[in-house]
Amino acid sequence: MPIKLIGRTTDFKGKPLWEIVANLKNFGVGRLVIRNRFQRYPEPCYMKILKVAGMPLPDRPYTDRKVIALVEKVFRGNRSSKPVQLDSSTYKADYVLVPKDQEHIFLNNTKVMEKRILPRVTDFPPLFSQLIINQMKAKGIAVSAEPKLNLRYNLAATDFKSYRVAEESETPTVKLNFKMDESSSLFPKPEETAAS
Amino acid sequence: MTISFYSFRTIQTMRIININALTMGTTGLCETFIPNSVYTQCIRWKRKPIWLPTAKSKVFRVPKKPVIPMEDYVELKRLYNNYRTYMTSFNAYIRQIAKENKTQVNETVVNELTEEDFKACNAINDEWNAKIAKIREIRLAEMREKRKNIILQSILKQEQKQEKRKIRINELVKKVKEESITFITAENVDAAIEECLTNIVNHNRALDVEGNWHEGKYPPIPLVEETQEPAAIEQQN
Repeated sequence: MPIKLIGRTTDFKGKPLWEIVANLKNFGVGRLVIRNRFQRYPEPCYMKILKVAGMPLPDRPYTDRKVIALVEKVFRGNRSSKPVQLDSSTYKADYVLVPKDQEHIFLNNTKVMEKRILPRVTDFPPLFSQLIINQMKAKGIAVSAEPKLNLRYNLAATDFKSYRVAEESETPTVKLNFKMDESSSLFPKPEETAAS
Repeated sequence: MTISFYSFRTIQTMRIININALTMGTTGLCETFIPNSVYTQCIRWKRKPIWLPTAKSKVFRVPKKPVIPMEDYVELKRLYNNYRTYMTSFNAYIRQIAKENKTQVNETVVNELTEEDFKACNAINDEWNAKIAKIREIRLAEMREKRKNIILQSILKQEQKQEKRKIRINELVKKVKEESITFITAENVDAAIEECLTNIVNHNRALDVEGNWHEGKYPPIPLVEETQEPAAIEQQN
Protein backbone atom coordinates (compact mmCIF):
# COMPACT_ATOMS: atom_id res chain seq x y z
CA MET A 1 0.00 0.00 0.00
CA PRO A 2 1.52 3.31 -0.97
CA ILE A 3 2.26 5.76 1.81
CA LYS A 4 0.12 8.86 1.72
CA LEU A 5 1.67 11.84 3.40
CA ILE A 6 -0.60 14.24 5.23
CA GLY A 7 0.20 17.73 6.43
CA ARG A 8 2.47 20.50 5.42
CA THR A 9 4.86 19.88 2.58
CA THR A 10 8.59 20.33 2.95
CA ASP A 11 11.41 21.36 0.69
CA PHE A 12 13.76 18.88 2.27
CA LYS A 13 14.55 15.68 0.47
CA GLY A 14 16.91 13.15 2.00
CA LYS A 15 17.85 11.79 5.39
CA PRO A 16 19.24 13.13 8.64
CA LEU A 17 23.02 12.94 8.65
CA TRP A 18 23.13 10.25 11.32
CA GLU A 19 21.10 7.84 9.22
CA ILE A 20 23.65 8.14 6.41
CA VAL A 21 26.79 8.17 8.47
CA ALA A 22 25.88 5.39 10.90
CA ASN A 23 25.58 2.86 8.05
CA LEU A 24 28.96 3.64 6.49
CA LYS A 25 32.34 2.12 7.17
CA ASN A 26 34.38 4.30 9.55
CA PHE A 27 31.31 6.58 9.82
CA GLY A 28 31.82 7.75 6.26
CA VAL A 29 35.06 9.63 6.75
CA GLY A 30 36.29 10.78 3.36
CA ARG A 31 32.88 10.50 1.65
CA LEU A 32 30.94 13.31 0.01
CA VAL A 33 27.58 14.45 1.39
CA ILE A 34 25.32 17.08 -0.09
CA ARG A 35 22.51 19.18 1.24
CA ASN A 36 19.66 18.78 -1.19
CA ARG A 37 18.46 22.32 -0.52
CA PHE A 38 21.66 23.76 -1.99
CA GLN A 39 21.46 21.87 -5.25
CA ARG A 40 19.47 24.69 -6.81
CA TYR A 41 22.73 26.50 -7.54
CA PRO A 42 24.66 25.68 -10.72
CA GLU A 43 27.94 25.87 -8.78
CA PRO A 44 28.94 22.77 -6.78
CA CYS A 45 27.87 22.60 -3.13
CA TYR A 46 29.08 19.58 -1.20
CA MET A 47 30.75 18.53 2.04
CA LYS A 48 33.56 16.07 2.60
CA ILE A 49 33.36 14.35 5.97
CA LEU A 50 36.53 14.52 8.05
CA LYS A 51 35.43 13.40 11.50
CA VAL A 52 32.18 12.19 13.06
CA ALA A 53 30.87 11.90 16.59
CA GLY A 54 27.35 10.86 17.47
CA MET A 55 25.26 12.83 19.92
CA PRO A 56 23.11 11.20 22.60
CA LEU A 57 19.60 10.21 21.63
CA PRO A 58 17.13 13.06 21.85
CA ASP A 59 14.83 13.19 24.87
CA ARG A 60 11.68 13.75 22.89
CA PRO A 61 10.27 10.95 20.78
CA TYR A 62 10.01 11.17 16.99
CA THR A 63 12.94 13.55 16.74
CA ASP A 64 16.03 12.65 14.78
CA ARG A 65 19.40 12.13 16.30
CA LYS A 66 22.05 14.75 15.91
CA VAL A 67 25.68 14.28 14.97
CA ILE A 68 28.74 16.41 15.31
CA ALA A 69 30.63 16.24 12.06
CA LEU A 70 33.72 18.07 10.95
CA VAL A 71 33.49 18.68 7.23
CA GLU A 72 35.33 20.37 4.45
CA LYS A 73 32.65 22.58 3.00
CA VAL A 74 32.35 23.76 -0.56
CA PHE A 75 29.57 26.22 -1.18
CA ARG A 76 28.90 27.50 -4.66
CA GLY A 77 32.41 26.64 -5.72
CA ASN A 78 34.09 28.35 -2.77
CA ARG A 79 36.04 26.12 -0.48
CA SER A 80 36.19 27.03 3.21
CA SER A 81 39.66 27.73 4.48
CA LYS A 82 38.99 25.95 7.77
CA PRO A 83 37.03 22.76 8.45
CA VAL A 84 33.42 23.50 9.42
CA GLN A 85 31.58 21.80 12.24
CA LEU A 86 28.06 20.64 11.55
CA ASP A 87 26.01 20.05 14.65
CA SER A 88 22.74 21.79 15.19
CA SER A 89 21.50 21.31 11.63
CA THR A 90 22.34 17.61 11.31
CA TYR A 91 18.87 16.46 12.32
CA LYS A 92 17.41 17.93 9.15
CA ALA A 93 16.28 15.22 6.75
CA ASP A 94 18.00 16.91 3.83
CA TYR A 95 21.35 15.11 3.53
CA VAL A 96 22.15 12.87 0.60
CA LEU A 97 25.19 10.66 0.23
CA VAL A 98 27.02 10.92 -3.08
CA PRO A 99 27.93 7.50 -4.49
CA LYS A 100 31.64 7.08 -5.12
CA ASP A 101 31.21 6.78 -8.87
CA GLN A 102 29.37 10.10 -8.99
CA GLU A 103 31.79 12.08 -6.88
CA HIS A 104 33.58 13.33 -9.96
CA ILE A 105 30.46 15.28 -10.99
CA PHE A 106 30.97 17.52 -7.98
CA LEU A 107 34.74 17.44 -7.82
CA ASN A 108 35.20 18.26 -11.49
CA ASN A 109 32.62 21.06 -11.52
CA THR A 110 34.81 24.10 -11.58
CA LYS A 111 32.12 26.75 -11.68
CA VAL A 112 32.62 29.45 -9.07
CA MET A 113 30.06 32.07 -8.22
CA GLU A 114 30.83 35.61 -9.05
CA LYS A 115 31.56 37.75 -5.99
CA ARG A 116 29.54 40.90 -5.76
CA ILE A 117 31.40 43.95 -4.51
CA LEU A 118 29.24 45.86 -2.06
CA PRO A 119 29.56 49.58 -1.33
CA ARG A 120 31.31 50.70 1.83
CA VAL A 121 29.23 53.79 2.37
CA THR A 122 25.89 55.16 1.32
CA ASP A 123 23.82 58.31 1.70
CA PHE A 124 22.04 59.21 4.87
CA PRO A 125 18.29 59.75 4.77
CA PRO A 126 17.85 63.23 3.26
CA LEU A 127 16.46 64.99 6.32
CA PHE A 128 18.95 63.32 8.63
CA SER A 129 21.76 64.34 6.33
CA GLN A 130 20.63 67.97 6.54
CA LEU A 131 20.46 67.64 10.31
CA ILE A 132 24.05 66.43 10.46
CA ILE A 133 25.22 69.25 8.19
CA ASN A 134 23.46 71.81 10.38
CA GLN A 135 24.98 70.34 13.51
CA MET A 136 28.42 70.42 11.98
CA LYS A 137 27.93 74.05 10.98
CA ALA A 138 26.77 74.88 14.49
CA LYS A 139 29.93 73.30 15.87
CA GLY A 140 32.02 75.27 13.39
CA ILE A 141 33.21 72.37 11.27
CA ALA A 142 33.54 73.07 7.56
CA VAL A 143 31.22 70.85 5.52
CA SER A 144 33.19 69.85 2.45
CA ALA A 145 31.18 66.83 1.28
CA GLU A 146 27.88 65.28 2.07
CA PRO A 147 28.16 62.99 5.12
CA LYS A 148 28.07 59.27 4.38
CA LEU A 149 26.73 56.35 6.36
CA ASN A 150 29.12 53.44 6.91
CA LEU A 151 27.37 50.23 5.94
CA ARG A 152 27.56 47.17 8.11
CA TYR A 153 27.56 43.68 6.67
CA ASN A 154 27.67 40.25 8.14
CA LEU A 155 31.32 39.42 7.58
CA ALA A 156 31.41 36.06 9.33
CA ALA A 157 32.70 33.19 7.16
CA THR A 158 33.60 35.41 4.26
CA ASP A 159 35.03 32.43 2.36
CA PHE A 160 31.59 31.24 1.29
CA LYS A 161 29.86 34.54 0.98
CA SER A 162 28.79 35.64 -2.44
CA TYR A 163 29.85 39.18 -1.65
CA ARG A 164 32.67 41.22 -0.26
CA VAL A 165 32.99 44.84 0.75
CA ALA A 166 34.67 47.17 -1.69
CA GLU A 167 38.16 48.42 -0.94
CA GLU A 168 38.83 52.13 -0.53
CA SER A 169 39.60 52.75 -4.20
CA GLU A 170 37.28 50.12 -5.68
CA THR A 171 33.96 50.86 -7.31
CA PRO A 172 31.20 48.57 -6.06
CA THR A 173 29.36 46.42 -8.57
CA VAL A 174 26.12 46.53 -6.62
CA LYS A 175 24.13 49.60 -5.75
CA LEU A 176 22.11 49.75 -2.60
CA ASN A 177 18.80 51.00 -3.92
CA PHE A 178 15.36 50.60 -2.53
CA LYS A 179 13.48 50.71 -5.80
CA MET A 180 12.76 48.14 -8.44
CA ASP A 181 16.08 47.07 -9.88
CA GLU A 182 16.64 47.87 -13.51
CA SER A 183 18.09 44.45 -14.14
CA SER A 184 14.91 42.83 -12.90
CA SER A 185 12.46 41.44 -15.40
CA LEU A 186 9.69 43.16 -13.45
CA PHE A 187 11.15 46.57 -14.20
CA PRO A 188 8.73 48.45 -16.48
CA LYS A 189 10.05 48.77 -19.99
CA PRO A 190 10.49 52.31 -21.33
CA GLU A 191 8.04 52.00 -24.22
CA GLU A 192 5.34 50.63 -21.93
CA THR A 193 5.68 53.54 -19.56
CA ALA A 194 5.58 55.95 -22.51
CA ALA A 195 2.37 54.34 -23.79
CA SER A 196 0.70 54.47 -20.42
CA MET B 1 -0.29 41.70 24.94
CA THR B 2 -3.72 41.78 26.47
CA ILE B 3 -4.36 45.34 25.48
CA SER B 4 -3.31 44.80 21.93
CA PHE B 5 -5.53 41.77 21.64
CA TYR B 6 -8.82 43.51 22.36
CA SER B 7 -10.40 46.05 20.12
CA PHE B 8 -10.61 49.64 21.17
CA ARG B 9 -14.30 49.46 22.05
CA THR B 10 -13.84 46.33 24.11
CA ILE B 11 -11.04 47.96 26.04
CA GLN B 12 -13.19 51.01 26.65
CA THR B 13 -16.02 48.86 27.92
CA MET B 14 -13.65 46.89 30.09
CA ARG B 15 -12.45 50.13 31.57
CA ILE B 16 -15.98 51.29 32.25
CA ILE B 17 -16.96 48.02 33.93
CA ASN B 18 -13.56 48.01 35.69
CA ILE B 19 -12.38 44.54 34.78
CA ASN B 20 -9.20 43.33 33.15
CA ALA B 21 -8.40 40.70 30.56
CA LEU B 22 -7.89 37.96 33.11
CA THR B 23 -11.22 38.40 34.84
CA MET B 24 -13.08 38.84 31.60
CA GLY B 25 -11.88 35.71 29.83
CA THR B 26 -12.10 35.48 26.11
CA THR B 27 -15.80 35.00 25.50
CA GLY B 28 -17.28 37.17 28.23
CA LEU B 29 -17.81 40.22 26.11
CA CYS B 30 -19.14 40.04 22.61
CA GLU B 31 -18.70 43.21 20.68
CA THR B 32 -22.42 43.31 19.83
CA PHE B 33 -23.31 43.51 23.53
CA ILE B 34 -21.24 46.60 24.02
CA PRO B 35 -23.65 49.46 24.63
CA ASN B 36 -23.88 52.40 22.30
CA SER B 37 -21.77 50.91 19.56
CA VAL B 38 -22.18 50.61 15.88
CA TYR B 39 -21.28 47.05 15.02
CA THR B 40 -17.54 46.90 14.76
CA GLN B 41 -15.28 44.06 13.82
CA CYS B 42 -11.62 44.04 14.62
CA ILE B 43 -9.62 43.06 11.58
CA ARG B 44 -6.14 43.24 12.90
CA TRP B 45 -6.59 41.11 16.00
CA LYS B 46 -8.29 37.77 15.47
CA ARG B 47 -10.88 36.37 17.78
CA LYS B 48 -8.68 33.62 19.19
CA PRO B 49 -5.86 34.68 21.48
CA ILE B 50 -2.47 33.12 20.84
CA TRP B 51 -2.39 31.07 24.03
CA LEU B 52 -5.50 29.06 23.20
CA PRO B 53 -5.02 25.77 21.34
CA THR B 54 -5.99 25.31 17.72
CA ALA B 55 -9.72 25.43 17.18
CA LYS B 56 -11.34 22.03 16.72
CA SER B 57 -12.56 22.98 13.28
CA LYS B 58 -9.04 23.96 12.23
CA VAL B 59 -7.08 21.03 13.59
CA PHE B 60 -6.92 19.13 10.29
CA ARG B 61 -6.55 22.15 8.07
CA VAL B 62 -3.27 22.17 6.16
CA PRO B 63 -2.33 25.65 5.05
CA LYS B 64 -1.20 25.84 1.48
CA LYS B 65 2.37 26.82 0.86
CA PRO B 66 2.49 30.15 -0.93
CA VAL B 67 3.89 29.96 -4.44
CA ILE B 68 5.98 33.01 -5.24
CA PRO B 69 7.32 33.42 -8.76
CA MET B 70 11.11 33.28 -8.95
CA GLU B 71 11.46 36.82 -10.32
CA ASP B 72 9.30 38.22 -7.54
CA TYR B 73 11.21 36.22 -4.97
CA VAL B 74 14.58 37.49 -6.16
CA GLU B 75 13.40 41.07 -6.26
CA LEU B 76 11.72 40.91 -2.85
CA LYS B 77 14.75 39.27 -1.30
CA ARG B 78 17.06 41.90 -2.72
CA LEU B 79 14.85 44.69 -1.38
CA TYR B 80 14.56 43.12 2.06
CA ASN B 81 18.29 42.54 2.23
CA ASN B 82 18.97 46.14 1.29
CA TYR B 83 16.45 47.35 3.81
CA ARG B 84 17.89 45.28 6.63
CA THR B 85 21.46 46.24 5.81
CA TYR B 86 20.53 49.89 5.76
CA MET B 87 18.58 49.72 8.99
CA THR B 88 21.31 47.90 10.90
CA SER B 89 23.90 50.38 9.61
CA PHE B 90 21.77 53.36 10.50
CA ASN B 91 20.93 51.89 13.89
CA ALA B 92 24.61 51.33 14.60
CA TYR B 93 25.41 54.90 13.56
CA ILE B 94 22.77 56.33 15.90
CA ARG B 95 23.92 54.12 18.74
CA GLN B 96 27.46 55.28 18.22
CA ILE B 97 26.42 58.94 18.24
CA ALA B 98 24.38 58.39 21.39
CA LYS B 99 27.36 56.74 23.05
CA GLU B 100 29.67 59.61 22.11
CA ASN B 101 27.23 62.15 23.48
CA LYS B 102 26.83 60.16 26.65
CA THR B 103 30.55 60.00 27.34
CA GLN B 104 30.97 63.69 26.56
CA VAL B 105 28.20 64.58 28.97
CA ASN B 106 29.54 62.35 31.69
CA GLU B 107 33.01 63.74 31.91
CA THR B 108 33.12 67.50 32.24
CA VAL B 109 29.99 69.27 31.20
CA VAL B 110 27.76 67.72 33.80
CA ASN B 111 30.16 68.51 36.63
CA GLU B 112 30.49 72.12 35.56
CA LEU B 113 26.77 72.46 35.16
CA THR B 114 26.08 70.96 38.54
CA GLU B 115 28.62 73.29 40.14
CA GLU B 116 27.10 76.31 38.46
CA ASP B 117 23.67 75.16 39.44
CA PHE B 118 24.82 74.66 43.00
CA LYS B 119 26.31 78.14 43.12
CA ALA B 120 23.16 79.74 41.79
CA CYS B 121 21.01 77.76 44.21
CA ASN B 122 23.32 78.68 47.07
CA ALA B 123 23.08 82.38 46.23
CA ILE B 124 19.31 82.21 46.19
CA ASN B 125 19.35 80.32 49.45
CA ASP B 126 21.61 82.91 51.11
CA GLU B 127 19.32 85.69 49.97
CA TRP B 128 16.33 83.92 51.42
CA ASN B 129 18.19 83.26 54.62
CA ALA B 130 19.10 86.95 55.03
CA LYS B 131 15.53 88.02 54.39
CA ILE B 132 14.18 85.59 56.90
CA ALA B 133 16.87 86.54 59.42
CA LYS B 134 15.65 90.15 59.32
CA ILE B 135 12.08 89.09 59.88
CA ARG B 136 13.18 86.80 62.66
CA GLU B 137 15.13 89.55 64.44
CA ILE B 138 12.13 91.84 64.43
CA ARG B 139 9.91 89.06 65.66
CA LEU B 140 12.32 88.06 68.40
CA ALA B 141 12.71 91.68 69.60
CA GLU B 142 8.94 92.00 69.80
CA MET B 143 8.75 88.77 71.70
CA ARG B 144 11.44 89.88 74.14
CA GLU B 145 9.65 93.20 74.77
CA LYS B 146 6.37 91.42 75.40
CA ARG B 147 7.96 88.98 77.77
CA LYS B 148 9.69 91.79 79.66
CA ASN B 149 6.37 93.61 80.08
CA ILE B 150 4.63 90.50 81.24
CA ILE B 151 7.35 89.78 83.80
CA LEU B 152 7.31 93.37 85.06
CA GLN B 153 3.59 93.31 85.44
CA SER B 154 3.72 90.02 87.26
CA ILE B 155 6.38 91.42 89.63
CA LEU B 156 4.23 94.46 90.28
CA LYS B 157 1.23 92.32 91.01
CA GLN B 158 3.29 90.19 93.32
CA GLU B 159 4.50 93.26 95.20
CA GLN B 160 0.99 94.60 95.58
CA LYS B 161 -0.15 91.25 96.82
CA GLN B 162 2.72 91.14 99.33
CA GLU B 163 1.86 94.61 100.56
CA LYS B 164 -1.78 93.73 101.08
CA ARG B 165 -0.71 90.63 102.92
CA LYS B 166 1.62 92.66 105.12
CA ILE B 167 -1.15 95.08 106.02
CA ARG B 168 -3.48 92.24 106.82
CA ILE B 169 -0.90 90.55 108.99
CA ASN B 170 -0.09 93.78 110.77
CA GLU B 171 -3.72 94.28 111.55
CA LEU B 172 -3.93 90.75 112.83
CA VAL B 173 -0.86 91.25 115.00
CA LYS B 174 -2.24 94.50 116.40
CA LYS B 175 -5.52 92.82 117.25
CA VAL B 176 -3.77 89.93 118.91
CA LYS B 177 -1.58 92.35 120.87
CA GLU B 178 -4.67 94.16 122.06
CA GLU B 179 -6.23 90.89 123.07
CA SER B 180 -3.04 89.63 124.66
CA ILE B 181 -3.81 91.67 127.80
CA THR B 182 -6.57 89.23 128.68
CA PHE B 183 -4.41 86.11 128.14
CA ILE B 184 -3.71 83.79 131.01
CA THR B 185 0.00 83.70 131.65
CA ALA B 186 2.22 82.05 134.22
CA GLU B 187 1.96 85.16 136.42
CA ASN B 188 -1.80 85.50 136.59
CA VAL B 189 -2.73 81.84 136.30
CA ASP B 190 -3.49 81.54 140.02
CA ALA B 191 -5.76 84.59 139.98
CA ALA B 192 -7.55 83.22 136.94
CA ILE B 193 -8.09 79.88 138.64
CA GLU B 194 -9.37 81.64 141.64
CA GLU B 195 -11.75 83.68 139.61
CA CYS B 196 -12.96 80.60 137.78
CA LEU B 197 -13.60 78.83 140.98
CA THR B 198 -15.45 81.78 142.45
CA ASN B 199 -17.55 82.63 139.40
CA ILE B 200 -18.87 79.30 138.24
CA VAL B 201 -20.70 79.63 134.95
CA ASN B 202 -23.32 77.06 134.22
CA HIS B 203 -24.20 76.67 130.57
CA ASN B 204 -26.62 73.91 131.26
CA ARG B 205 -29.77 76.00 130.94
CA ALA B 206 -32.30 76.73 128.19
CA LEU B 207 -34.69 79.49 127.18
CA ASP B 208 -38.26 78.82 126.08
CA VAL B 209 -40.57 80.91 123.88
CA GLU B 210 -41.96 82.89 126.78
CA GLY B 211 -38.56 83.97 128.04
CA ASN B 212 -38.33 81.63 131.03
CA TRP B 213 -35.00 80.11 131.92
CA HIS B 214 -34.90 76.43 132.72
CA GLU B 215 -31.98 75.23 134.77
CA GLY B 216 -30.57 71.86 133.82
CA LYS B 217 -31.14 69.28 136.56
CA TYR B 218 -29.47 65.91 136.38
CA PRO B 219 -29.32 63.17 138.89
CA PRO B 220 -25.98 62.87 140.63
CA ILE B 221 -23.53 60.58 138.78
CA PRO B 222 -22.12 57.75 140.82
CA LEU B 223 -18.44 58.23 141.63
CA VAL B 224 -16.09 56.28 139.47
CA GLU B 225 -12.78 57.96 140.02
CA GLU B 226 -11.68 60.43 142.56
CA THR B 227 -10.02 62.73 140.03
CA GLN B 228 -13.24 63.14 138.11
CA GLU B 229 -15.34 63.68 141.15
CA PRO B 230 -14.92 67.40 141.74
CA ALA B 231 -15.56 68.33 138.08
CA ALA B 232 -18.67 66.18 137.97
CA ILE B 233 -19.98 67.67 141.13
CA GLU B 234 -19.31 71.14 139.83
CA GLN B 235 -21.18 70.41 136.61
CA GLN B 236 -24.18 69.12 138.48
CA ASN B 237 -24.30 72.24 140.56
